[in-house]
Amino acid sequence: MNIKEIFKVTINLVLIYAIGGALLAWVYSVSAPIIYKNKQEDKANALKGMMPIHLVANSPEGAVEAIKAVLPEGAEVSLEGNKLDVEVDVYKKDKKKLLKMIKKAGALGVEQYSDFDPGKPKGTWEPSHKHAEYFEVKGRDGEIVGYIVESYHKGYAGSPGIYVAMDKDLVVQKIEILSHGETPGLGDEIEKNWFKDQFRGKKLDQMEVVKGETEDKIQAITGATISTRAITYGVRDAVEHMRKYKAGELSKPDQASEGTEAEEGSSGH
Amino acid sequence: MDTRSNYQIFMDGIIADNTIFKLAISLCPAIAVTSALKNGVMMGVAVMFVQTMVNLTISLMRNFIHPRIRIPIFMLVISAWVTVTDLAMAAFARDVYAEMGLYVQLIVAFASILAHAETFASKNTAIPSVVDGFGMGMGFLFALSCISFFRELLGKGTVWGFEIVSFKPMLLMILPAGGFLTVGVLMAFFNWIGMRFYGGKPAGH
Repeated sequence: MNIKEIFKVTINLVLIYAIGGALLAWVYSVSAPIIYKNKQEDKANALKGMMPIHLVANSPEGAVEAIKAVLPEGAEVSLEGNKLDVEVDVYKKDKKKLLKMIKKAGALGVEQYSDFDPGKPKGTWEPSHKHAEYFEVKGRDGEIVGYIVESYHKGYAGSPGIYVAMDKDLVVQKIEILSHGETPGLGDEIEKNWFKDQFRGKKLDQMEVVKGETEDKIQAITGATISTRAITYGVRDAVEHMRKYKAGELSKPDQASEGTEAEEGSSGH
Repeated sequence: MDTRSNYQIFMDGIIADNTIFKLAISLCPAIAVTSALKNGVMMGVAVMFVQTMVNLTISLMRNFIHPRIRIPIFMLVISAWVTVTDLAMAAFARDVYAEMGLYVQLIVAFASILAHAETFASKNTAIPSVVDGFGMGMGFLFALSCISFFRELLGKGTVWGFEIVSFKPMLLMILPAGGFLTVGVLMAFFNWIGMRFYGGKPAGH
């Protein structure tokens, strides 16, 4: 290889890579803003699904007791005329099942349900060096009923993003996968309901991955332990973060608009 | 220049030069994603698209590529197509992206795509190259569909997520070991057909 050829090869490589780079930059500049907007929309939709729901059942005389019987534990019921006002935290996934059971118990129809309001993010934090938000969920009277936290933890390919909904005692109620790049057929099992449902009712100290069947901890997906860990530790970090938030242990509690008021609000529990 | 007709190039891509059953390359994704039929088909479609586009691009630029640096240039073209497809789908086809996004991202370093950029597209004109890419892609799609069909059926008792037979599934089949077994058995089967009925040679010859 003489000097002339080295020169030729170099120019050739640089030129083609420069053209390729320019093309990629152009595609990126066109698509990036749209992708960002899409992601924000997806997140907003996911957030809606994380909220608990209030039900107002239209109940005839005599069916009240039957309806009460099918309601989950902790439901507060008050009767106004023939309207049975059911205050119970149900998450979107349970809603269909519960509605069916209430109707079966004799309700003439569930008149309405109202979503809770997560409002604006209470603040931001940085799980796995990502920018993430957390919310306080307020009920009708403005009391805090739970928290929703966005979280990330390093997985097999990138850091899967999740939303974690927990009640005011920091018991996990629901998780949703926002984004991930785990291997199809193995790691993407984290999107399945059987896996996500495992987190319901679990507390901070139960966030451990176990191989094989378990009731108490989190069961690893066969062939995808790393993906399982990513989600489990993401949830664990989220719960831990809210524990600190509630206990006022966060060094810089809030960058959100409400500042220190948020802390006072949480100390009421 | 390749002297085969376009039809022959296409058919060879599916049968005589089948990526999995004959050439035995790109086996890693063939094992990793074929635990369910849907995954196999999605991966096959994604590869078919990228392989066709890469072949087209390489054949168009083949006279501008210095032979000494052809491999880095092939890598650039493949990764550029993967990135462009990924970004464009995420921005303009969200529904498709939700289904296919994961698979496209896996393609970056695919032996079968690199191999055909090298052995075919860099030596032929645009149309045969597109036919070759499409045929090879179809062959890959066919192979992945076969493998994932049997693995899902035996390993989960379902096809495309719908329950077909109810029995205690063989968990082994959806684990990587089951993937290797399925590929081996299917490879033997197709080779047997080739030798018995068409006088073909087994893989690797």
